[in-house]
Amino acid sequence: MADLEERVQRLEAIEGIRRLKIRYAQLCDANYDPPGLTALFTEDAVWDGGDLGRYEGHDQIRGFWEGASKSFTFALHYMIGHTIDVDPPFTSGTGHWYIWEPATVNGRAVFLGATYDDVYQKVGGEWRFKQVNANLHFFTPYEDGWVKTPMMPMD
Amino acid sequence: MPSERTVEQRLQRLEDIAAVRQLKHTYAKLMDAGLCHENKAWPDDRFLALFADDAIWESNVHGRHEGREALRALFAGWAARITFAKHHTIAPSIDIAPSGAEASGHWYTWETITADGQPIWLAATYNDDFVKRDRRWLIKHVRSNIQFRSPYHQGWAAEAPLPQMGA
Repeated sequence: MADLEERVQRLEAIEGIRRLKIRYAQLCDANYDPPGLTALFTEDAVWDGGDLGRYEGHDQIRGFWEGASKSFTFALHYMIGHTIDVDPPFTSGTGHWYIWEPATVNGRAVFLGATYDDVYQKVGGEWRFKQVNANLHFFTPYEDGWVKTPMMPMD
Repeated sequence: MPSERTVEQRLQRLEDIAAVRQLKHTYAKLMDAGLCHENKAWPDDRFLALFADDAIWESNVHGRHEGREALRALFAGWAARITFAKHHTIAPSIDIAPSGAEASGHWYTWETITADGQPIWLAATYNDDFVKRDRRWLIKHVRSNIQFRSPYHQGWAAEAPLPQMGA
């Protein structure tokens, strides 16, 4: 069995990564705070949302958040059901999350359901996103539900 | 994590985070069990014992209520109107003070509620304070910012945004 120091380090790393993801959610809910969100990513990070686009590096990632802040006038990012894996020396990790997101997009109530596959890296003692893969499962007008309209256009 | 702290202190912090998380989820569990019970006797002493004597419960919709008896009256008012509730209390973000005797926490809640016979969605965030007294964590201050409280058949887009309290 690993020694006590290593066991505590593992739990601290998991807690640190959990906090990073929830901070991301809180900033998304604060009208996507583009500078605040961008600072949570490593310089060379990739945010990849499939049909939502792929954004690499701080400039592209900031541009993506600036666009989101215009069309999403309200959103709550409920980050749920995570699994986080870290191994010594606890400077990187991976995680899977569910998200349940009620939002108002261009004046319309919508439900967004997705999962995330993330890669994390510790930079200067702080956890950062190295890669975020967002897998959209439905993006549906509230009145329609996800059988009738699983994916509405984003803009 | 600065390594000047001993392993024992670092483990204590992780245990305190787990205890505060569990306290909030116990609050949700006992509230839902109480509100849903057909022979309602809620809030009972078991639920109120989760709070410090001088605890405050406030929200942008319900105002500010201080002390255990004021909390009892507030919750009894809910019990009179609410026949079903599920508080999905999600994504805790908890800070333990260096003293180890105080903590603060942020949560999200997604609630399905039946109030006055009508189904509603309620979405809110919490900015709460906690205190450790006699080695037990207690709720000191609940600040609930309700984002929307919407009839199921209507959704939230038609509603004006609710004013939000500062942290």
